[in-house]
This record gives sequence, structure tokens and C-alpha cells, in this order.
Amino acid sequence: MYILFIILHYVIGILLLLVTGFRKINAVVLGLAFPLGLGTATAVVFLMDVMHIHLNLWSVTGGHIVVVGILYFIAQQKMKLTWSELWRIRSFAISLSEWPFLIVITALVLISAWRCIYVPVTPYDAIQGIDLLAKYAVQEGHINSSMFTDMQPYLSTQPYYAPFCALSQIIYRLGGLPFGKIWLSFMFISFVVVFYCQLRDSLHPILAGILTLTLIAIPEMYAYTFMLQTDYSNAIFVTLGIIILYQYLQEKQQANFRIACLLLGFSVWTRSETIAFILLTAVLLFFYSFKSNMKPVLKDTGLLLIPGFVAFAAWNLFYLPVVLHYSPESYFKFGFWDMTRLGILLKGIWALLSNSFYWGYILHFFIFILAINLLIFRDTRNVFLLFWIIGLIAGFLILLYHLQLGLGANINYTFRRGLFKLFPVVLFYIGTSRVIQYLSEKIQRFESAHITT
Amino acid sequence: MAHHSQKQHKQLSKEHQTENPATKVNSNFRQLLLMGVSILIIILFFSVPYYHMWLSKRIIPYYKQMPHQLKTMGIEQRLIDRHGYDYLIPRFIHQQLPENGVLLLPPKQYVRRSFAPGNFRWHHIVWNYYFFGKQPLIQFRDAQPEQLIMATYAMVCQSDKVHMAIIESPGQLQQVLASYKSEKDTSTIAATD
Repeated sequence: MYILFIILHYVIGILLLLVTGFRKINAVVLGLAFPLGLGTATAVVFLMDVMHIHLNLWSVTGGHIVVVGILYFIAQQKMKLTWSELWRIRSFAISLSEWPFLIVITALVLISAWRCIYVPVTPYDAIQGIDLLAKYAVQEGHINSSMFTDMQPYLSTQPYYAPFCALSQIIYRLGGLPFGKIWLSFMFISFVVVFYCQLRDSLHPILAGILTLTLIAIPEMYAYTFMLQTDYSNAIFVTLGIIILYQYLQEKQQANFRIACLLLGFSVWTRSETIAFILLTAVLLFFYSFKSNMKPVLKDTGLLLIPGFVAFAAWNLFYLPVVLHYSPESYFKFGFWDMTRLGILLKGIWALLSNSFYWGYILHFFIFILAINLLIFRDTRNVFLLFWIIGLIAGFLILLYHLQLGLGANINYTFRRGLFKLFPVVLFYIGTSRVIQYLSEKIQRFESAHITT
Repeated sequence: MAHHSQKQHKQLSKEHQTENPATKVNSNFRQLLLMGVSILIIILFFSVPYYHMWLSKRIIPYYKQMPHQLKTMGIEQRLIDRHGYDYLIPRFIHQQLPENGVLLLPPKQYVRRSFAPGNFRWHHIVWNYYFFGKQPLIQFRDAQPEQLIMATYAMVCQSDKVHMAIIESPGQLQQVLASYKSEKDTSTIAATD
């Protein structure tokens, strides 16, 4: 049955993309379909639970089919679509020079997918939280299972994390997989496909291949492609959201904007604190798009915030306090100045950012490209991405400064995993920089025999 | 996305289609050359120290483990392979604890002393619950004195081995508690467990 769920998630995602305005099914659409489809499916399962519908294989499958029906109806009614029109898949000729990269990337993705399917749920946080919740929700048919009362004295914050991963586990455990998890591999594959195709759209395949390989081979991040934690899924939603938003800023296609809003909304559905970075994105969007007419810019900024706020409120302001009777303890303290604390944080952040053991040499590469791009090419086209990168680090600095937990743990865990959101955007910035585009043109000219004669 | 370079590329390719066969051979040669460059880049990439280490210590062993993993697809076996004692001991408790028995679980420091590093971490009572559901367990860390006296069994660990000691008298319970608190880090038990 889990294969049916995979298909349904693709179908939901594709229909959602069509409803929001996409008109062709290509590799990017297929790549975006799964995260969007799964995100929507988790929201449906959540709504079913809120409506006291017993969660079992048949009800959850029925919920999926209802969503497919609704989306199909909207697509048919509003867009007057014919299926034959949709399946004009854009040709995607693979050049000789990209085969080596595709083979290596596939080998890395496949072994990750194998481990994801084979290895049981391992992380402490998942066994004490995400998967514990999912396992008992599957057994008892509702999220608020007896686990919350049985284990009440022993639970920490883990079962109360934002619900995307736990709900995904519920769906795939109901689908018959003993450890769930396979959805994580499909998220990873989708991420790689969209990242590669977006870069390949404007770069020579060799350069798109190098950047995608560098993304996959980030040692610390790769481990999380088959480990059940919230961080990688969160990074996927955030990165795809930012990439598609950037595309919107370049091309001004409303379909891209709507999808970016949804993706960023789902990122909050994955980790609640991401709401802070959605705010940051909205502020950047406002200043970046601000021209003489304030109205459309304000509208865009507001729309960008809505899905994230809905996701945040549904879980943190409704389900946790009302259904689970849990009030998250605030570990934040504001309104103080501690130079020593700031110094330790800055030192720790830099040490972690520049740690090649975790991230490879991306930071060094980024600084090198950034310097050439700004100083020699004076390229400001992708400055939105650059400000987002700086904003993310500054945002983490502010959050960690006010978070009253151990500084070491803040840096080593919260910030380390938070950086999963940073490095894909850093690599995308490199890919969109003028210096790399220039290099790409040179390779393309060389590849064409035109200039030899 | 900037389509400028892509358009330029397509234009170049279009022009290229009308060229003579000699130019086409040249173009194919260049594509082959670029494929060689791709392979070289990949080799160089994985020669860089951290990426090389990642490939040799992670990815290659993952592939090497696959044949064995394909032969051991049973869920139980996969749980044992992955969690070791962290799964086997909860299973032991689940199988061996009598129906009306109440088991006292030891503190973390005690377990750490009794097992070789990495063999068994003694996570939490929730760990047992995750694998086998609700069981009559008392966790030393959280137990009040009136709860402790309800224990009819106590987990005793030594040299990487575990057994359930029967508690039939208050004296035996005191003996177990003393062993849980024994040795030099007694003072840290209360603080850390």
C-alpha cells in the first residue's frame, strides 16, 4: 500500500502545481510534486484527526482520494485542462559530459535510499518523539494516543515537535512499512532533482553537476538523508521555497510565488521556529520588491507569511494546548546585554561554520566566489540570496543569544542542524553568480565546435 | 532564472546543426573531451581530504554492507543489528518479566560502569515503551521511596551482562540500591540521573 501512497503524493503535488498555475509537467514539477503532495497529505491527516476521524489505512487512503478529487475538480473547472496537454513533457537531452555526474549522484542517492529503507529508526529524538507518536497513533487511530498519558512523566519536548515528520511516519507506517521513513528518500530525491534542474537551466551541466555533487556530499547533511529527524525535511522545504521565490523575483510568474509560499509554509509545519526565518524572508522580499507602488509589495509580503502562520498556529496555538494540553516552556529571555555570551557565540558559530569535517569546503568556495562576484563582476542580480544567507546567520545569532539553554548545546545542535538550511542556498547563490555563469558560457562555447574554425 | 546563456547555447547548437561533417566530428570530440573533464573533476573532488574520507569511511562501507543486509531482511534481525543491547535488553525484559512482576531499572551511571563504552547506553524508560509498550517498570531516577518498595525485581548489570534479581525482602532492595549508588560517583547519581 505504501506504493499507492507514493503515487498519491505525486498526484496531489502535480495537481496542486497545476492549480497554482504551472502549465507543463517537467522534471522540476515532478521534483516539487512529492514534497508538496506529502505536505498536503499530512495536513489532511491532521485535519482528519482534529475532526475525530479514526486514522487507519482506509480512512487515510480515503482522505487522500478526496483531496485528489477536489484538486482535480478545481483544475478541470478553473483551468479547463486536458490531460494530453499536460503530458507534453519538455525534452531533456542528457549531454555526454553530464553522464559521469549523473551516475555518481545516482549512486549516492541510491545508497542513501537503501539505508533509509533498511535501517530501523535510530535517532534518540525520533524514538522519544516523532516515531513514538506515530507508532502509537497508528495502533490507536488518533494522534492523541495513550502514549501521552502512559509516558507523561518521562516525555521531554520531542513528541511535541511540529508534526510534519510524525504525520508522514503515520501515513507510511499505515502503508505497511515497518519503519516508515521511505518518504524521506523521496524528499531527498525530489530535492536533488529540483536543485540540479534549476541550476542546469542556466548553467552548463558540468557546473550544475559539480554544485549538486557538492550539495549531496556535505558529510553532515548526507547522514540526515536517511535518519528520521526534522532537520533535513525542514531544510528541503526552506531551500526549495527560497529557490522558487528567487525564480519568482526573476521572472515574476505568480505560479512560482504561490508555490514558494506553500513550500515555506510547510517548512514551519516541519519545525516551528522556522517562522522566524519566514519573517526574515518576508522582510527581504518587501525591501527587494519595493518600488513606487507599495500595495502589490505589501500584498506579496502578507501572502508569503500566511501559510507559515497557519501552520504555526494550527500546531502551537491550537493542537498542543487544546488537544494535547501541553504548553511549551519558553526558554527565551529578552532585554539583556552580555558581551561575554555574544563573544562565545560568535566564536562558536564561526568555528562551526568553518568546520570542513561537517561541511566540506563550501564556505571557502563561497567566500572565494563571493569576492570575485562582487569585486570583479560587481554582480548584484542575486543579492536577494546573499542577504538571505547573511540574514539566516544573523537570525541564528539573535535566537541563540536569547535562548536560555546551554550555549554549547545551542551551537552544537541547534545551530549545526540549522545550517542545513544555509548551505544549499549558499550553493545556489554560487550557481547563480555572474562568475559561474560566465564560466558556463565559456564551456558552452567550447563545447560547440563553432569557434574552432 | 537567467535564460540568457541557455538561449545562447541553443542558438549555438542550432547553428552547429547546419555545419559540415568535419565540424560535427570536432564537436563530438569536444563533448568526449568534456566528459573526460567531468570524470577528472569527480576524481579530483573525491581526492580532496574530507570528501575522500567521507567516501572511504561512509559511502564505500555502506555499499560493502549491502550484500549482508540483503540476506538479513527480517525486522527483528535489523533491529538487533542496529540497536544491539539497546534493543535486546528491552526485549529481554519484555520476555522475562513475570506478569505480576515490577522491575526496577538502574540509573544511567550504574549502567555505564557495567558495560563497555558504546555497548549499552540505557536510554530511558520510553525506550522500552517504544519497542514493547507499557510495562510495569520503575525508573530509579524518578522513583519516590514508596514506589521503590513496590519493586519485585531489579535489573542487575555486570561486565556486559544483565539479569533480573528477585527482590523478596526490604534488605535485598537496600542491597540493590546500594549497588546502584556504589563506587566513587555516588554523589553524581542524584544530579545526573
